[in-house]
Order: sequence, then structure tokens, then C-alpha cells
Amino acid sequence: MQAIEKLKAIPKAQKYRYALILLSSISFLGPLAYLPQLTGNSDLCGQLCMRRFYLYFPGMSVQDFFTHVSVAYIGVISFCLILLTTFLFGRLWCSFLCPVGGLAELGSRLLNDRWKIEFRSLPQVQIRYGYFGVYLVLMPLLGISACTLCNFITIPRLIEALSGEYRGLLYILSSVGFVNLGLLFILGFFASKGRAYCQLLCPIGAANGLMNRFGARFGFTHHIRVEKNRCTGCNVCARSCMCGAIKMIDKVAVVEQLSCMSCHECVDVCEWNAIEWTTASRHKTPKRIKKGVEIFPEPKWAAINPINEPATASNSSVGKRLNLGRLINGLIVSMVLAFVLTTTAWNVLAG
Amino acid sequence: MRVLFLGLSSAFMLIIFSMSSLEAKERQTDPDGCLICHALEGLQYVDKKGVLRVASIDKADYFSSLHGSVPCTDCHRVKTYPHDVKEALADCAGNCHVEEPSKGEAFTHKAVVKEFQKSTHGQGRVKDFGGGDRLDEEAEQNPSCRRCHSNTAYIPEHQMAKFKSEFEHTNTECGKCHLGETWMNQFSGHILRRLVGSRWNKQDINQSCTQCHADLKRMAKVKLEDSDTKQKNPASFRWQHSVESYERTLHSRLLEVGEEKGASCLDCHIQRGEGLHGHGILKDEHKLASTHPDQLGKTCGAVGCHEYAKSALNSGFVKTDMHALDQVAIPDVRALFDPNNWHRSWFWGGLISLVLALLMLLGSGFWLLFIYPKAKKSADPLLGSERFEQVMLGRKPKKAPVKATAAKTNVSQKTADAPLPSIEPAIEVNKANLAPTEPLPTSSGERADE
Ligand code: SF4
Ligand code: SF4
Ligand code: SF4
Ligand code: SF4
Repeated sequence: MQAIEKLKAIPKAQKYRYALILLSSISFLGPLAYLPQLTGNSDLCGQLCMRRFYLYFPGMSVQDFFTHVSVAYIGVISFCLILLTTFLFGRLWCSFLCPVGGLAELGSRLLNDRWKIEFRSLPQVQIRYGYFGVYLVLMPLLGISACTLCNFITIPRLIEALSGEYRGLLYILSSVGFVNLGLLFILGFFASKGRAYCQLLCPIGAANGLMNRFGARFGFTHHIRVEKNRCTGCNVCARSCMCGAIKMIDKVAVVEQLSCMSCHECVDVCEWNAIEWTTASRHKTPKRIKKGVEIFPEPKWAAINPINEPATASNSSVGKRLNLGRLINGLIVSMVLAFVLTTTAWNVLAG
Repeated sequence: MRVLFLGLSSAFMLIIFSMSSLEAKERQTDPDGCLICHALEGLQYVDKKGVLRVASIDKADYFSSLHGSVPCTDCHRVKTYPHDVKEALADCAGNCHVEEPSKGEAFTHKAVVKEFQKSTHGQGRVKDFGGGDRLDEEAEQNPSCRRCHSNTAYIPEHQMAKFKSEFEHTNTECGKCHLGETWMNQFSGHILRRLVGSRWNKQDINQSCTQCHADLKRMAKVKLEDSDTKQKNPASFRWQHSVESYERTLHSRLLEVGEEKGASCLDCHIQRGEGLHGHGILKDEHKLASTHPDQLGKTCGAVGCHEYAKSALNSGFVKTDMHALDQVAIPDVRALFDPNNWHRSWFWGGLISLVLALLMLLGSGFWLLFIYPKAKKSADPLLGSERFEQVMLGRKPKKAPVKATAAKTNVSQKTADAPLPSIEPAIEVNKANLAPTEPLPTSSGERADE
């Protein structure tokens, strides 16, 4: 009974999203896996891999980079398409299609909340990009393969194992597979809303998040935007956001575009139409102007929280906190850059 | 009428037959008279092992073959008659009837043979290019040349088009100056065929290696010499399953889907360099082996592969295990109970999964029977829900003991002076996530109470 009620409580649009995830899982994963099989592959690795071609190895040349690209050319093309849609419409791949993040989420939603761990309040941006930096430049150097903590092999192999294929079972029981399975459980099924792997460890998601943040700077792109004058601060959206992308700051919902997946759930649950997946302005000129006065002011849809507002008693501390986060972000970027520079210099000096 | 028709048609067939035998006209005079005996039908003998051997040569076959114009003794250097079987073995490591046209020297495989003899494959019975008895070879551990260089696919299918166009090219372009059939035959027939025809793709190469190395029964019999003690020991599990472990790598998987950027066995396992012919497969521990740790930078850093591997900074990268045993199959169910296998990851993986699954199963049953009927119907996540309320929703900490953790997130606490009433609507709107209104201990404590 309870389950049925819960099902009924899912916003209609979200039901479509779940259905789409299931559909794409069937298309991408074994035993059918017909999308990969169109290219002659049986899983998402090798030519389809979207996670390896941008790795940085000290001393690598442009030629090396293109070798990596040409090996995984299908993955590279898909990756570029994903980034393009993300720029224009938000992370639709992640929220509506990705079988890897999607299945973990659906699995988690089947479980009762009381068994789960709440990861959403962690400083996910810093963790994600910290790990992303390590993943890009340090792990290749140490010889830790990109495949080590890869959910894009774990989920396909798990499905294979469940459908009785030997290869999948062997992978799941291998030491790498076993660790990955553990990750899938802890950061997937037993994570609140099931997207902790996406939030913290997925390099595709990290790159995609950067693109999302970049796209949100433009007014003509579709992203999740808040009209703060409408927001009542009821925080329903923040509770239901699977990515922990919404934070209540000064009783207004603020969307972190680096984390938001444009899944629309916040849009569906907000009863005040204060949050929307939209371009910045739908109407260039307000329609209802009388004697120069806007009677119903046009909504100002803002994707990015303006953090440079004049400090008042209540938001001065806000400014401070964001600066701490930004400081760490800056550190991450500069450390990655410094690493690249020093290794390049080392290689030049060592001949 | 009928008889006439039959007579005519059989005459016609006779003509056709005689024409086809005309085609295989004698292309050499048989100066040593080998064919006097060997052309006899039914020239057979029983060898020492009692195997019936056929020694007759079909003239038509022979003369229409590629070597139909080469006298027998050019390759089978028989001096006395009747000859011993061994004496007749062809040895291409000697000089060959092909002349290298620019220098006019007879071609020889000597350099290749030398390289091969030093390699791990050449360590046992040295056969040079005389393969000897094929039946003996089956039982041999080390391969002779022809095990890999069989002529079954003389020019591989995928090279045929290229071979034809190059052949055309030598006829038209090279033939303008290099007149004379001998040169053209030598060049097109031999050198070109080797330049183009024998260029295997990586899949072909792997196939020639896996013929033997994927055969687990055969590999189980292999004994390898320890380079220090010179003792022969059975090959390790890792060694025996090298093909299977390789098949799990991207190197192999790319080749499987026809992506030539993958790496074949030889790509990593042969010594490369000036004057080498790609036959130097050495044991990993050999200092010069391409797979010796000192050489890996050069091997992985080959042009078109991982060129950055040459940089000393990538020494970690080149040590990636390309034959990891993690995903090598469990031979059979009995292996599960063999203590020798208990260090393998599938054993531990399976054991831990089993224990966890049992715990989950028992725990769920216990929960359903005893705890669930009394439990609160909706609950917060086990861990971190308090922090979520404070950090993400900006709610004040509710209970004194939580303050210690809340102090860490002091900033959010400061901003979180939202009066409780403003949260009330949230509770009404979202019944599923109904927050408990009375102060509660932490979730774990709550579970313990029940
Ligand atoms: S395991 Fe992951 S990183 Fe490795 S090839 Fe497959 S998808 Fe790419
Ligand atoms: S973040 Fe990664 S795993 Fe998650 S949905 Fe996006 S691509 Fe898939
Ligand atoms: S649900 Fe709507 S009104 Fe409530 S906090 Fe979110 S955006 Fe504001
Ligand atoms: S902010 Fe809204 S659209 Fe973005 S992830 Fe959260 S719920 Fe989905």
C-alpha cells in the first residue's frame, strides 16, 4: 500500500524520466546492448570509452593525445555531443539517459530511506573536482588505470553477471570489480537519492558539470533557473534534489550549476513556480506596461547566484563561505596547472 | 546418333584433359633425376614409428606450383642416392634460389635464424628451417618455423588487393627499366610477396600465437628453464593463462573489434631495433627482453603507442600489469575447494559477497518480523540527515549534543537563523519527507531504542 502511494507521489514528469532511464539501460547494457553492438562492441569500453582520452601523461605530445582520441573515437564523439547538449539544455544525458548513474538512482529509490547515507550535504564540488584533478593528472602518472574506479564497466558487467554471463561474474568477483561493486552499493543504492557516485567520482559528470556551469552564464540556454522573488524558501526543492545541487541561502533556493543535472524534479515539486528549466528571459519586453509601469513584472530567471551583492549583516557570512569553497576550487585548478607545468619542464630539462 | 554424341563428347573431354596436363608442362629438366623415382605412383614406405609415408610427387601439381621451375636439389640438398630422410630436409637457413637483385647475392634467412635461436622459442631443439617430422613436432614444446609460418594463407585475404596493385605496379613502373623476366620474377614473386603478402595484421599475429598459447592442455605440459638454477619447472599459472589474461585488456579488446590501434602479442613481446627481424621473443627476466622492466619504457613508448612512456616520469604507468590474473576464469567447480586457489580474488570476493548476502537476508527477515511492525513508517537516512538539514536547508541544530558537529559548519549555522515557522509549509507540502516535529535523538540512536 505504502509503495503504491509512494509511486503515486512521484511527479508525472519524473515517471517519464525513470522510464527513459530504463529504456536507455536496455539499449546500452547487456544482454541486449544493442546500441553498443551497432558499433560492434559489447559494452561501453574501448572505442566507446568516454573516460580515458583526456588523461594527461607527463611528456605526452599532441600526437599522443590524438592517438588516444582515435582509439576511442566513438566515445569522443558521444562525449562532445553530450557536452553540446549540456551547454544548450543542461545535463540531459546524466539525468535522462545515462544508464550508469540512472540505474544506481532507480535502485536507491526502491529502498527505504532509513537505510541510506546522506551524501548530498558534503562539499561535493570540491571533492568532485579534487578527485577529477587527481584522476586527470596524478593517477596516470602513478599507473593507476582509469578503469580502476569505473562505473561504466561495473554496471554493464553487473547486468551481465545477473543475466548469467560468465564474463560479468568474473569481473564482479575480481578485486577491482569487487571494490567497484562496493562503490556502487555505498555511493549508489545506499546513498540518499542514489547519485553520490555522479556527484563525487564520475569524471564525465565532472566535465559535464563544468560545461553546465559555463552554459548557465548565457541567457539563451536552457538551465534550471530561480526567480528569487517568487521563492518562498519552503525548501521542498532542496529536499528532493537528487544531486544536492540546491542549497537554501537566505531562505532562497540557490542552484549550484556545477552539480545540477536538469532532471526537473525541483520544477515539478515547486508549488510557487519559482524554479524553472528555461532561458533567462522568455519575453524580451514586458507585455503589460501601463504608463511606463510594469504591472506584472517579468520574472528574472537567474541560473547563477550573484555572490557579489553588497554585504549586509546576513549575507556577509555567505560571502565568506563561498570564498572558502572558491579558494579550494582555485587551489585545485592551480595545483593541476602547476603539476602539468612542472612535469613538462622536467621532461624538457631531462631531455 | 546417340553413339556419335557420346563419342564426340568423350573426345571433347579428352581434349580438355590433355590441355590441362599441357598446362603443367615440365618447367625444369630434373637435372638430378629425382623425379625418376618420386614421380612414381604409390612410392610409399613405413617409417620407424610404423607410420605410412607417401613419397610420390604428382608431376602436374609440382610443375604448376610456384616452385615448379626450381630443381629439387636447390632446396633438398641430397648428395647420395638412395638418400636418408634426414638428408632431404630443406634448410632455408642455407642459401636460397632467390637472388637479391641489387647485390646479386643468394638470399638467406641466416640472420633471422640466429635471432630465433636466441629467443625463448628457439631454446629447445634447434631446427633451423628444416621442420623435420611433423608428427614429432606435435609433441615438441618449442615451435619450429613452420608452426607460425605455415603457407596455408600464402597471401592473406585482406592483403590480396594490395598485393595485386603492387604487382601491377612492378610490372608497369619497375618493368620499364628492369627488363628481363628473371628479375621481375624474383622481385615480384618473392620479395614483393614477402613485403606485402606476409604483412600480417595484428589479429593474424595473435592467432598464430594463440594456436598454442591458448591451448591450456598444451600449456600445462610446458616446462620452463629457470635462468639461475637451470632447472626445468612447470610453467606458472600466470604463464599458462597468459592469453586469457591478455584478452581482458584493452590491448586485446580493441583488436577484437577491429581497431588496429590495439596491441598484439608481438607488439610488446619482440625486441625491436636496428638489424632485428622480429623473432627475438625473450623471457621477461632477460635483460634485453622487450618486457624486462628496464626495456618497458622503450617497448610501451613505441611510435604510435604510448610515446610518453619513454619519459622516466611514467615509470609507474609502464608497470601496469598486462596479464593480471584477476579475471581469469575459474577452471571448474572443484577448483573452488582447492586451497591453492584460495588466494585468488574470486575466492575472497565470492566469500565476502556470500557472507554479506546472508547477513542482508537474515537481517531483512529479522527486520520484517520483529522490528518493522513497530517502526516509524517514514524515516530519515541512517547517516548525515542532520547535517543535510543544517547545511543544505539552513535549519538550526535542534539538540544540544549535535552542536559539537554543528560547530564545524558554523557558517551555515550563522546564516541559518530562519525561524521555524517558515519551514512549516515545507512539511505540509511534502508529506513523504515529513520531518519529525518533536526533537529526536539521532537516527541511529532511535533505531537502537527500538
Ligand atoms: S573500464 Fe571505464 S575507463 Fe576503462 S575503458 Fe571501460 S569505460 Fe573506459
Ligand atoms: S555523472 Fe557520470 S555516472 Fe552520473 S549520470 Fe552523469 S555520466 Fe552517468
Ligand atoms: S520549492 Fe520553490 S518556493 Fe520552495 S524553496 Fe524551492 S524554489 Fe523556493
Ligand atoms: S537542481 Fe533541480 S534539476 Fe537540478 S538536479 Fe536538482 S532537482 Fe534536478
